Amino acid sequence: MEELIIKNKAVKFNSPTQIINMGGPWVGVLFIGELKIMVDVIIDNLFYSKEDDRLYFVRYHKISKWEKENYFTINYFDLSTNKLYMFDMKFEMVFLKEINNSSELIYYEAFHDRDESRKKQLILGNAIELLLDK
Amino acid sequence: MLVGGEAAGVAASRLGQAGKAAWLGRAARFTTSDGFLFGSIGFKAPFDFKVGLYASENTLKYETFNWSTIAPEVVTKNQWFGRNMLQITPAFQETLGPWSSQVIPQGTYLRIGLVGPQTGVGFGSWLQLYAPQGVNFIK
Repeated sequence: MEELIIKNKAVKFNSPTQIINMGGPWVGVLFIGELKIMVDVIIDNLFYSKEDDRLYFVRYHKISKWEKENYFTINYFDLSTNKLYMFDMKFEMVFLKEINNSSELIYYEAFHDRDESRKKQLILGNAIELLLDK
Repeated sequence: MLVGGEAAGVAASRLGQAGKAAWLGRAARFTTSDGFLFGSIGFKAPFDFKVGLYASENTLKYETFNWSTIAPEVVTKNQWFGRNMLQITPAFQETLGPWSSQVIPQGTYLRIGLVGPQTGVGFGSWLQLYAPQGVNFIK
């Protein structure tokens, strides 16, 4: 991923590691500048939306010994308020693509965007505010 | 228009595909969060030994890996091996990464078991090694 700079702050990942199995996605600890945002964030799949001043990304939730019970969520960090949010939907696989018309998220049910048959749309509703990871 | 045996054949084929998909979906329930079928056994590598893996872009970028296997090089050249026996589904990687031969150093903590099924591919289950702390690429 090319380095992403938002408002003169670098978006970076620490402690990168692979998840699920060989060929699986990679996660890391997301930072904006020196501010730690969240752990277990998918590397290489985040984007900044200038319109709403938000950084969208995907988090892996490893809550169980069994893979089927683990899941991904779509999250965003609001840079105008420095608050973190999560949409209340669980995904087995998800790859974020873009925001359409400020309210519609285009995503893929995969870990990449190269299979158009997996392309989906999500109307962005209310999100749950989360505390920043310490 | 299909008649008689043809129609029965098509129906059986469709049922077969649906049944296979459902069965594979159920089988994937037995995959652990670290990618094993049912589970794995932990041990420390008693000596350096050679392993191989299909390296993703990030694996190559960070030059470290967690999952690997032991297999004759000739089978690793066939995509079917990676897709089915190692369960790297097209949803994970549209194109399989290059095969990379690496060495796990003596003393590395590993888990060993069979590859757990993922939804969307066949029920292959080859030997798999998982190094929770990661192993750096040999230079």
